[in-house]
Amino acid sequence: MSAARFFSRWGLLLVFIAVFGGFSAWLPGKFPTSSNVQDILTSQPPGIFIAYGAMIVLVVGEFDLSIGATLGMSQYLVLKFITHYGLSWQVAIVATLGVGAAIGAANALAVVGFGINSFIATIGIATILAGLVQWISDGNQPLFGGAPKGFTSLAQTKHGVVLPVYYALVTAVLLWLLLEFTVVGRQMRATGANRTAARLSGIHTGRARVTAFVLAGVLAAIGGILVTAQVGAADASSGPAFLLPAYAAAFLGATAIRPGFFNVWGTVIAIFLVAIGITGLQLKGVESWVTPVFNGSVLLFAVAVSNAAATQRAFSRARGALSRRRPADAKPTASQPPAGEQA
Amino acid sequence: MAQALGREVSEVTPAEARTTARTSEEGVLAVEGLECRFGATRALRGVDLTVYGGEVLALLGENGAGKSTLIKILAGVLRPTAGVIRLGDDVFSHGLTADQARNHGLAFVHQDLGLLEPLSVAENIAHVAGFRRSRGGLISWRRQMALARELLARWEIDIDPATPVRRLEAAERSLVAVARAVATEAKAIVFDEPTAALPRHDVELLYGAVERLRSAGVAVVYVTHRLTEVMRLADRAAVLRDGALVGTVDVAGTSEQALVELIVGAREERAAAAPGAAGDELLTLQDISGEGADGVTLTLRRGEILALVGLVGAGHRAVGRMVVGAEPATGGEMRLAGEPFRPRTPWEAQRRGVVYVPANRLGEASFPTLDTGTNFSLRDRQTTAFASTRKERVAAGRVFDEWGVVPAVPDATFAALSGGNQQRVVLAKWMTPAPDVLVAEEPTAGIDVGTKTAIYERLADAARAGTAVLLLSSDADEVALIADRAVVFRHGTPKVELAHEALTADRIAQECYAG
Repeated sequence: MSAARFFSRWGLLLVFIAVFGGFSAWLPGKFPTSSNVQDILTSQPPGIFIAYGAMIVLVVGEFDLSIGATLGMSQYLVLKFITHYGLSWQVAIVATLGVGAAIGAANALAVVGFGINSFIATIGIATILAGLVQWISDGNQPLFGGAPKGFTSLAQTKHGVVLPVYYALVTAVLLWLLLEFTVVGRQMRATGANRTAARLSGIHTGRARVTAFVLAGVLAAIGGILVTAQVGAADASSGPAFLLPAYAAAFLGATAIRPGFFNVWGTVIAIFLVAIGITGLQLKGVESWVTPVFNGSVLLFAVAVSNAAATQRAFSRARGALSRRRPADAKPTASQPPAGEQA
Repeated sequence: MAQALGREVSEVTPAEARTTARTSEEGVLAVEGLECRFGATRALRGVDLTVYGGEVLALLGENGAGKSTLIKILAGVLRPTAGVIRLGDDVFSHGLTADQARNHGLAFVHQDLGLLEPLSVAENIAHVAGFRRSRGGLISWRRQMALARELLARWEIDIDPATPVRRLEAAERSLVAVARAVATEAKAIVFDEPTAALPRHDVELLYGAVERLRSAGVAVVYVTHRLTEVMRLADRAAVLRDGALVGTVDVAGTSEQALVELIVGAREERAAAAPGAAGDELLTLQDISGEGADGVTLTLRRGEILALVGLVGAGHRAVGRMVVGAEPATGGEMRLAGEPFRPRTPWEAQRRGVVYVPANRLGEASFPTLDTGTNFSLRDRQTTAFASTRKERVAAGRVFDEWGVVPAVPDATFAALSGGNQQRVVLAKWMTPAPDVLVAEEPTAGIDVGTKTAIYERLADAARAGTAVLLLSSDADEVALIADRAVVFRHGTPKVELAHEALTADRIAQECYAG
């Protein structure tokens, strides 16, 4: 593996290590403590799940801007199902996941069925959801308490880390297997790579996109359920705040591990990179308005970096075309790790 | 023995030698009475066609003759309004679905190859030929790679299956597309203009693949505009005109001339290429360098057609794009009519009367989703910021009429026009009013014979009227036919200038491939 390749794959992880090391040196006794690390881990799972949702739709070449609203709705619904409709917490969770899937299906209907640009369609759905949430929550009144023990124990601490962190890791493995090792996953990837070519290859591109939207809805719903389980209360209006960091993570994640492709592990690293950045700054005493500024800057930076990487590729391709007949062993294929790329 | 065999073979005429490859008299693929209507227009009007195993059937016709419609019906993209399709013993009377086509051994190599560029060769193959899974049901990339490696080896393609397709050269891509198409034991394969995007020197590789398929008994349908290709490769040629089959001929018993007459009908005419008398020096390049070209010195005169020729990446295109301000020239000096000329943007070049017609019609030369009138107006002549005015649209319609654009009204969506008509719109846009310098890149690539002839005449007329035409082309026949001079590029620099008797297609090709 060439140095350039190594850095493009692992650069984000190195940045993560550098930022962590930097804050540790800057704030010894505050930053690199086990309680701080626990705090960071504990606060991430909902954000990780919604970032998975953002990523999976980006894989098929679409946007889903309704996942924030879906998260908000499901964190409220799951508690309302238990406290107002008397459902057991298990049934409430299944029902909430069903609502998430239904929202995903509605997005898919708008985008795949009616051919509406996904950006616009999912903003539309998000707006509808915001209205519905206001309706069921009597004008965004938060719900406090009433969560049964079984439900809140979903978020209890094991081995120093809350359970949702483990859920997030298991889900990461599942999504990774889906995207890299199943036909459905590869068809989703192919659809995002070039929808026309995918269709000509005999791939049902509509089905791939529907799958992605439904999965995104379910993943966002899981994020919402986890918020409620961890907090024990539900604030229906908090969903949209999750949206932008999720996209920042997905785009930043596409600059690592499998550069140029939206991928699970890159997204996970990105989430934690952003988290330690914000936490470090907050520990240093900056005010809370810094968080959105930081998130927005990260999003722009991530997209700029992946654009630069694409331009770089175009240049090297142009150069390749110039030296028309390269000897076989000098082709860039050599630097391209074979199965490892997929594995 | 070998001698005897040699003599025996030499006694067989090429036509006989070819037809012996036919494996059966039962057609592998046939259409009967195939019709397709779009509203009032009949894109296909009762086409009967049979393709046999072990033959190459060239499918010819101008743009809009119905070739694409026929291919789309076979691929399951369109449904015919009448007629049946036979695949072996199975009869389909209401068209095919894409899955049915594939399951009955019908494979396609699409015009733009239809490859998934960011993904690996192995994965591109897998999406068509199927994924190999391990016991747990997950994809086994190890077995997938092995399958791809085996397939590539069978086709003698020396590439690593883990390579992303975008890293491959054009010829390798087309071979991957072929290997992938036939990975599922195809009985019939349709090539839709496979060489349109291929550099000339890579075409032979693809021909080799087609010939292998033929000798393996596969029925090959080969759609093309290049008649040399037909003569070289095909056993029979079927010609469509206005949606009807006007003839099926044995290639061995026909000539290019005869095919052209079949394709265009009565109005066959060759471009009169009386070289105009070249005038004063208009554009001079002194030691120009930039990305892809190095140390280029050239002179372009008023009233001449100067062709810059070369293989892909040879530098002729790069020079053209520097002249029009699309790419920066990093060294050297350009002069236009004696004045220093170094455009940093195409806009600057246009203001000095230098216009550019890019080869990539839908990607660079047009606004496919806008109407033709707006496409025509969107350049420096446009008088309002946001839309073309009524007056401009009337003017556009008049110009379209004069250029033979169908439809001549400025309201048609650009992308809905046939390739030939699109190119007429683009050229009309940049040649009205006549520019001082016209840089035309592959102006006739992938368009029908009729439009080709018309464009050649237009270019010749413009040159006679004083425009200096810089033709960037990789089509040696075209250059030999219409250019006054040709400069052949290799490895980023001009190597030789050809004119007069030396300006022949063979000589151009020879110089392109030399060292």
